[in-house]
Amino acid sequence: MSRLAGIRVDRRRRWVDRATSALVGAAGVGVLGTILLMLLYLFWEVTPLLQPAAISYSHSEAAGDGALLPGGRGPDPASPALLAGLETAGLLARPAGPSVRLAGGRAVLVATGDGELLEFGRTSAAPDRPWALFRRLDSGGLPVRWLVAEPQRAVVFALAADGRLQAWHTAAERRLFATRLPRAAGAEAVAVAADGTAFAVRVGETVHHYRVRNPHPEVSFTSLWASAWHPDYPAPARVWQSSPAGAGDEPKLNLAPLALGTFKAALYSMLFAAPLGVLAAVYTAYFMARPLRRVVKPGIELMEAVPTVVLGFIAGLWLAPRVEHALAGVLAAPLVLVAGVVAVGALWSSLPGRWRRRVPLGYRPLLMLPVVALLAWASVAASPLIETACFGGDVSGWLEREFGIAYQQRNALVVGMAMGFAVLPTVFSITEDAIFSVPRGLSDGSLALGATRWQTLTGVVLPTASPGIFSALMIGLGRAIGETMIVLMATGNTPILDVDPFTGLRSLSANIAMEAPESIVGSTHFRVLFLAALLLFAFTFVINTLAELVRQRLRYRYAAG
Amino acid sequence: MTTRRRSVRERFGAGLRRQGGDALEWLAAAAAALALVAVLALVALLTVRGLGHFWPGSLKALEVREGGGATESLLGHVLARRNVPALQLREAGLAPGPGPEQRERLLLRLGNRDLGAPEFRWLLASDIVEERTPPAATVLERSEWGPLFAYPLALRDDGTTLVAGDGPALRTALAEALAATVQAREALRALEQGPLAAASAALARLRSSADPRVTAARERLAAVETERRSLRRAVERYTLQVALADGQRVEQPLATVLRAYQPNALSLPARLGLYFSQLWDFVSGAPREGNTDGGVFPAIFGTVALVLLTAVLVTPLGVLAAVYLHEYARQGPLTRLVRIAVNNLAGVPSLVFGVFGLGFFVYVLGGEIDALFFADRLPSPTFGSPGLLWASLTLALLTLPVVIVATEEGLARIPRSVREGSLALGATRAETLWRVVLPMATPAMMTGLVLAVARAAGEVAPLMLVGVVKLAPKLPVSDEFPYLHLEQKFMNLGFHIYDIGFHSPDPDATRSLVYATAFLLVALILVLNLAAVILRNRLRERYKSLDT
Repeated sequence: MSRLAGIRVDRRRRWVDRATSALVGAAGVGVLGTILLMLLYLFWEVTPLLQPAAISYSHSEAAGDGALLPGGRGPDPASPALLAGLETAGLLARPAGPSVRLAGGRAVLVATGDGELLEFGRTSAAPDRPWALFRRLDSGGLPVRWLVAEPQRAVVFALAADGRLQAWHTAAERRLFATRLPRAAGAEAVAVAADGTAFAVRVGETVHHYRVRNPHPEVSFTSLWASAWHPDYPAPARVWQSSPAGAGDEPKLNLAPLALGTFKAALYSMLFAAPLGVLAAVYTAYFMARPLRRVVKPGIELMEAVPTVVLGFIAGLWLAPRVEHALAGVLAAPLVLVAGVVAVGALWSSLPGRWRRRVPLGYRPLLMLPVVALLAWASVAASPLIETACFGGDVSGWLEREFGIAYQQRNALVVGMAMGFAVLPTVFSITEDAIFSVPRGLSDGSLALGATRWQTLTGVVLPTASPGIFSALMIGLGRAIGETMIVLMATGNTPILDVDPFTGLRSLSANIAMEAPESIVGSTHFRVLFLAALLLFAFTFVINTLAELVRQRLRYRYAAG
Repeated sequence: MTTRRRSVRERFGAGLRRQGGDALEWLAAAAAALALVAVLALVALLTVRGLGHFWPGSLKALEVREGGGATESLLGHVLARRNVPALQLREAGLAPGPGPEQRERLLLRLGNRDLGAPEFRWLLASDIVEERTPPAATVLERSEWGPLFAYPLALRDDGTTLVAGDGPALRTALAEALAATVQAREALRALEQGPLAAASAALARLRSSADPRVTAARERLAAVETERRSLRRAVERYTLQVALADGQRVEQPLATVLRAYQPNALSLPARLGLYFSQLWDFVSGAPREGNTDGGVFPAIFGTVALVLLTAVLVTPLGVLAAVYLHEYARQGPLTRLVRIAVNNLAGVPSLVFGVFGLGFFVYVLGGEIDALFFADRLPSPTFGSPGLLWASLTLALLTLPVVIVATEEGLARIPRSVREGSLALGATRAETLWRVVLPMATPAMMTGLVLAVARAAGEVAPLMLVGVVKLAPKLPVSDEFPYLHLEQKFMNLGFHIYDIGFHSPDPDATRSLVYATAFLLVALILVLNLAAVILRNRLRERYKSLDT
């Protein structure tokens, strides 16, 4: 170029040019690198959970008089009375081999003659049958000679007379390793260190020491997602309880209630946001008068900026008590609104044309504004009447009687309303854009062929815009799934496993917000919280990519049309 | 027969479709209206409750019927009136007696938390025998134990009565005494924080008592101590004797009284003056009594410091990345990948950034920095615990897509001809960028920046992991080296709402405070967003003229 125009770019200018290029390039690559770093770092914190456990020989020494390991734990078999009791109860049919007590004596693991490990535990299901079979672990026919368990965790070492060793985490139903332990054949005593990092056997007059690397035994697919029976529970359950309730209890890290809570909150908020957002967007883009649209669209979009902590606090402190107070009215409100609006619309259409023309089609929301407000108010105000008429004067009592649901003040319904409000602008804005950018020629052609406005909308405009609407709903869903503050403030944060609208919930994100600051760095709990964050990341990533792909298809479609 | 029936059905069907279409049009209009109603209701609720917090309401003196024919005198603000079904009252163990199904209940704030009785009380409206607004009823706002509602009787100066009776003389004297006390209190605080702290620090630095300077330092300290004692005497000089609603007499030292006023006797201008003075105290004051009272200045300050730091971090990176995407990079798989990544980053839940910030910034980076530079302070962490720097880095990541998208949009609006003209005149690419393109894209960058700031100001969830606290003893900026304390924890308006709304020991007492804080935050963010919208519109106007 310099030769072309005969301009000499001096050295300093050339240097500035190159430096700028480098800087700009570095920024571009830096952004990509940062995003990759985020993903990789989250993975890196989670991967230790998947690392297999291992045991290796350390050293040997002459046996002294004391315990094999200082502070360690040797065999701790169940009392013969308990085993006999299990046999009479019909739980334990086969001849019992060695056994070990778990969870402070509230559970016991028994090795049977044919190599199965059976865990029995105390349960609160029936007072006359205090013990139940919790789970069977298949050791593959290991003739177990010694069973020892760590004192803190439910990690059990099963050693055969020939030196074969298996380690299990019972609650996670995870076989940590199965190996032949060198020099351990014919062991006469065994012990495991209190922190689970060392294992020792005595053969003759020698004690052999082994190093165990086993930082996260309690995590498996079963323990994270499937139900497991815990001591003193009436039945197998999926439990999230990160801080143990009692002595001898391990943290119970089942993500199922949290994941379900996340989806429950997202589902109820989409129930509010999707119909309202899409319908409002259809109207705004297709029917609304331009001057009105120029005010309404930014107005609703501006609400996207309202901090969710404010919505959460209004949901928790203002909305929740009012919804509880006028539950019947709130439940009836959608019906009242739809019926009332249709009735008012019909009434308006039957007015003489002189009146009707006062409010053109594009300004109907202004007419509807007081109608909707009045209907909503009327529905809530009529709540006691509805309550007396349909629910015997007491909705929460009726719910309890008919469905066995104990009404909680901060529940999924309240979250749905508040988070629906938070998601509404997102759904509205993207849907509105999609409908508005449908080429005018398409709808004009349809109208010219004699279709009604509504036929044109449902037959031409909406199908053309459908990918955009789909992507709006996806992005809204993604936002609802990741939202933290509203869920944190508008629910009781109880990790329960149901989808009732009148009970609370705990979502993955709220759980992380509450527990991550107190979690010990590098602990299993810490890493499981990272796993939860990674799940949120992955899920929203998939949803957003899907939405983006669909939107690109939409652009292609317009280009073709 | 069949054809006729079909035609009837068809006609009916067509009518139904038309009617249905009509109804659905109305429903769509109603949906738009409902969205607007919800938005307006939210804004109205926040405005009324938030700004209402500072309005000095009247003090009601109530005679309330008690069991056994006796009555009880109460003095307080009526906070809420609510209709409750009689059934619910019976279930709650109250005896509403026969009568209508719905009963009105009042929530009364009685103040006087230190005097034994509950501060808040629900009453049945039917139990009220008499309701008055006595002009002498006085609100004493205190730095401890919340407000005192009472009738002043006499002002005392070190035990000697200055003025007695409840006339205007007492009111004037009280105002003067209070002004003097406030002045002395300010002087005392200034002394304690300034000369006293300096003198004792100087003495502590001189370790060995043999040092000749020790005597001088001791003397200085003693002099300051004397001054402090005299100031404290001035602070503790006055007491106000008051009568409570039930006639009990209480001595209230003015030392802890912040403000005294007679809400029932205020004229409208005085009431407005008081309103704005309370509003100002809220914005400029520090929180008191475990965040349940007082102002939110440290939270505002923390939010602003955090947001500014975030803006400083995010702007260069975001703008340069947008320039890369739009001006420099060859449009190909790499740019598409970066775009997809940026789009996805915008959709990642904010909490995930918080988790990343906690793990990577705080524990990994912070831990390394501590090990390298602050090893002498270990094991107590310096940068290895959540703090301002890590929080602003986290928010910078979070707001990066906002800046990139807005800047790119602005760059796309600049006509090609402008760049080509610049290059044709012999400018290098860098010169075109710095002198032509970026100045033209400034409004777009400003838009992005303002939107990023608004987003950062409203985020709470990630901050809970990377450095926000409910009460920070010090501001993150001070006159001590290095002036900006990046490792310090800080307060934040959004978190303040969460904390006082949900972790307050007395939710009734803090409710209106939460509304006021929420109003402040929402107003701040909406103003920022409006500014962004206006900037963007101006940008559009500017290039309209260029396009033609």
